[in-house]
Amino acid sequence: MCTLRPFTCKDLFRFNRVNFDPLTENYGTSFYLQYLVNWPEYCTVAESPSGQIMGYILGKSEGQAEEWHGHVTTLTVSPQFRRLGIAHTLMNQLEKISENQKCYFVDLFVRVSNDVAKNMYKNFGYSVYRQIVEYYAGGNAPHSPPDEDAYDMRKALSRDPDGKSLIAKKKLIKTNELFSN
Amino acid sequence: MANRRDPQTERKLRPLYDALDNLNNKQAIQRADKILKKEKDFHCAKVLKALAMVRLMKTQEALALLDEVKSHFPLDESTLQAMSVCYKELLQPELIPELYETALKYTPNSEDFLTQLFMGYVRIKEYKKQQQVATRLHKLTSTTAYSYWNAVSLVFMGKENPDLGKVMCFPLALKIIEKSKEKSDEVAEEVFRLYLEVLELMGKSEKAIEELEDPKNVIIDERERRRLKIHFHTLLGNTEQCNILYKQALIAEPDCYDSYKGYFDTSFRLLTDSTSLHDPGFQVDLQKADTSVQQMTGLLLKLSEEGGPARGPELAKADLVVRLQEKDIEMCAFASSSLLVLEYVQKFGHKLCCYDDLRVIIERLKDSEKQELIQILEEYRISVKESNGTKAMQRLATLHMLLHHLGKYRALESEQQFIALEEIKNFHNITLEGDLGCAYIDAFVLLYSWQKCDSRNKPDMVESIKLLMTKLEQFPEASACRLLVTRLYEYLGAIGPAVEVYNGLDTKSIQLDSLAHILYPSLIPLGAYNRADKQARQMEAFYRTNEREVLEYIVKSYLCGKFNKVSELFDLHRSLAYSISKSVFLLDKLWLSFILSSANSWDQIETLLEATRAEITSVKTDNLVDNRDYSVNEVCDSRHLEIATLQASTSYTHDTLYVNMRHFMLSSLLCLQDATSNKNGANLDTIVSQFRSDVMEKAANLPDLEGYPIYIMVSQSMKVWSVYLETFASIVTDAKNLIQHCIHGSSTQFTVENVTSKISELISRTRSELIVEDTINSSKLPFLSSLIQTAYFAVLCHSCVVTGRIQRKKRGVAEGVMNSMKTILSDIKSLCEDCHSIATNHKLENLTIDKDDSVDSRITSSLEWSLDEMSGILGKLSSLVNTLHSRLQPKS
Repeated sequence: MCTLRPFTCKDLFRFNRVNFDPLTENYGTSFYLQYLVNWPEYCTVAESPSGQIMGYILGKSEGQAEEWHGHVTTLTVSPQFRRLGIAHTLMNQLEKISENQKCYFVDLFVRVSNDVAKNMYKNFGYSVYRQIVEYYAGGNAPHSPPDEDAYDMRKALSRDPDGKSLIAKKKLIKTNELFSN
Repeated sequence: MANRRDPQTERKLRPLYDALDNLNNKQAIQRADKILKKEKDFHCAKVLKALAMVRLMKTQEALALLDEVKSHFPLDESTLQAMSVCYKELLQPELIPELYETALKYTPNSEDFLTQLFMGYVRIKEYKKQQQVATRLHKLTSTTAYSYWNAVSLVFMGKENPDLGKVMCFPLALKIIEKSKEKSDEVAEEVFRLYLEVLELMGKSEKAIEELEDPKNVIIDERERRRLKIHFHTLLGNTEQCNILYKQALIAEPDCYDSYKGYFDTSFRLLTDSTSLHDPGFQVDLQKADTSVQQMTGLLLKLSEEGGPARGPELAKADLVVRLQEKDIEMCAFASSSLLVLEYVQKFGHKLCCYDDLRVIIERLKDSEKQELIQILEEYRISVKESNGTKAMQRLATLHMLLHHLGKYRALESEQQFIALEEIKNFHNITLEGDLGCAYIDAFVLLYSWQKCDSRNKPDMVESIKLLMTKLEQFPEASACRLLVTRLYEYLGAIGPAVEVYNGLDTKSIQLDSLAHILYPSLIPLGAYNRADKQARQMEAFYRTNEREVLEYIVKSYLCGKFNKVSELFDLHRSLAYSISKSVFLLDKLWLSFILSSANSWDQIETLLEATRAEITSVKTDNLVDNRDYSVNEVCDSRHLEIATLQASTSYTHDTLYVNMRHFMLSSLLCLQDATSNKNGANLDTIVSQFRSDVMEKAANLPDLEGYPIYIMVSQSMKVWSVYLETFASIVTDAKNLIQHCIHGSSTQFTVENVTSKISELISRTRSELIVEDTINSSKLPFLSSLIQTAYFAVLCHSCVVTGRIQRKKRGVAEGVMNSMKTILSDIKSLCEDCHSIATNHKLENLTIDKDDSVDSRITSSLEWSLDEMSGILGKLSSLVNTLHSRLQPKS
């Protein structure tokens, strides 16, 4: 039970309880603004009946020709509101927008070690498309995690009924190859 | 930055651009100088040198260089672009338009210059001028995008001046949009939204609804389209249509709670029949509004049947019953509100959100209904307590939270309360071993600690810290526990452990503004001056960068046609520019530059005063915005919740007073400096009387924070400061009298004893707050920090005067002032030493001292550290006074 509404600039001052979660990245202000200005329709907040932010999703659409797709940049739900299907609701919303934008598929990156997230996305119909070597950079601090690979997971949309977008030429790629594409 | 330049210039400037891109500003200056040696009028190189200077904080030199280039009317794109970057980084965007206005005189048809000029006006909200430029751009190129820029500028112009808007701006904007709409088959979503906004501004809601119902306009998704239709029907007062739309929304998404609120609000407004019996043959009619209780009941039952395990329809039943109770309509189809709440807990109590869901219901219950609910839930709790398993444990956490919210434990005798608390603690121990999620354990441990700490009994707080720390070792992500431990350590005067625990939250970026009310307000009161200084400087850079970036995103919104983000971004810009925390940080930074300096001569102090003079004008003291997020404190006792809602306004008042106090301290120093040089001290009287009315009187009337729950206590520093404010006013008035007496020969009598006796009183007051029966009351440490700052202020104010002309004219008076300052400092020093020796003997008030105990010993060593920091400041101040005094002595 939640209310979906657009993510606005004001939410930047109010999303602390969600962002305290160690796996939720706190980006610089301009990172959020980049999404809010360029892809406002892809940025959604789930709010509880009492008005608390339960979670949010930020995403975008990008790519050329048959690579035109929706991308999930951040999806997070506050620990208090987990196991309620909020993530699913937010993902559905993003997929619906990607359909409206005539995208071929939706993709996202997830840490290879994050089994909970990986299984959740599998349940939502996503499959591992390829693995990106050392996509997540580790920190310099003594306790920060080491570099880690990412799974690039995809789900085909109605514009790609045969699931062509799910067949990768290379199953393992380096991070620089990802950006050169 | 390096685009569209001729290749030769590009080649020459490349190394300079590289140095700037690599943030090597010193190297950039060297490279610029090298180029300028060969070509002394190379404007772009000069501007790039200025940019490096801006980044090295050499503002005055940079501005001089920029003015020099500007006087030559530069016309090349690279120079203009680089100058714009300089003005943006200097936060002076108002200087950009002039550059392009001049350039356009020579090349009036440059699309690029016109675009830059348009954006220049956008940054400074010059709507009329931006509209004129947009018109020029459209005439020049016939590009549709420019016609939208024109329309948006007109909308803003009209909003600023509604009369002009009605007769001219809005109709013109509408005409422009309709014209371009006709030309294209499909308009972009943002343009369509702009169109709807203009229709709304012109009061044409019917037309907006018509457009929203037109199947051609499929650009907006169904949910958003419905939301907009409801918005326009509301403007028209069409409650029936709104009701139908809410009903449609509920059928489409029965778990969207917002729609229930709208549905009930409108149905109750239309209510004609309050019969509440359920009609079994009821059919939902999506074409007609629901105007009877029977229809509402019928819809909820239908949604409940079809909604499967959805919480929405179940919560809505309780909501409906509460609404009927509020209207004294008896409900027959559903059970009482208490039983519906119980049913809800039975169904969904194992979900942690259950408490948050039910809050919206139980907060509206009458006292008698609350008592009934307490009884029902208590009976259920006893039965759940006997059950085993994760779900039962989770349900128990929900029940405890609800019972706390309803105030059950508050009504108990202290012994019963203790038993109840022990029960929660035991559950916490069980849950630590079980497979409950971190969030549930949070609930138990927080409930326990909150209640335990309410007494403000130190051993209870120490016990809570221990419990919370055990929890944090197991679940470092338990943020609510982390915040509470931070707060408890702060309260106990232990800044070291507070900082250490808080660092685990790893807050960054915009969180540093929205969470500025946590930890930072304790830093200066507890002697962590260097950390406060570091944070204040870091935040100064944060605001500078962010305000600039937000303006560029406003420009970006125009460029990519996302017009409805413009107002939102301007609001964000204002929130940052006028953030109350920003003013606190900036003023603290200026004040700390004195406190932390090792200045040993008046010349050095004067350098600091000049820096203050240059910066203080940009600090905002009025119309401040509160961006702080108070929702981070997770509370579930209704009494605490009431106070939590009060917290926002109290905290705002506190910090406004704090800002005004710091502003007074710095600006009165500057005025004193002026007065000793040649100007009269008339300003000082105004400043002092304003300070009396704006700060002192209000601070004296601040609510007593002792009654606040520990974990949501706002910055307590103003309450402490209120003790010292009268002395501040005296210090300034006496310094002014001193000037008048000695320089202007006025008959006003000056006696330094006036100030010294006031400070002596403060010393005894601080002593009695801090030292209680041979123990240190560590919570009162902020008094000592305030005392030392007051002494610092007195020394600065009086030195300002005596190191000037009086030194020569009235040596005797100056001698007297300096000797008095020395006496004050030596008295404070002995207070610090006494505290220190007590602290090292580990005689903390009411604490059971066990040397092996980590919490107790951490508090003690932190206290010693704070005292060392404060003594250090005092030491430096004494040495400054000694040096100044020795200068007064005649040379032997």
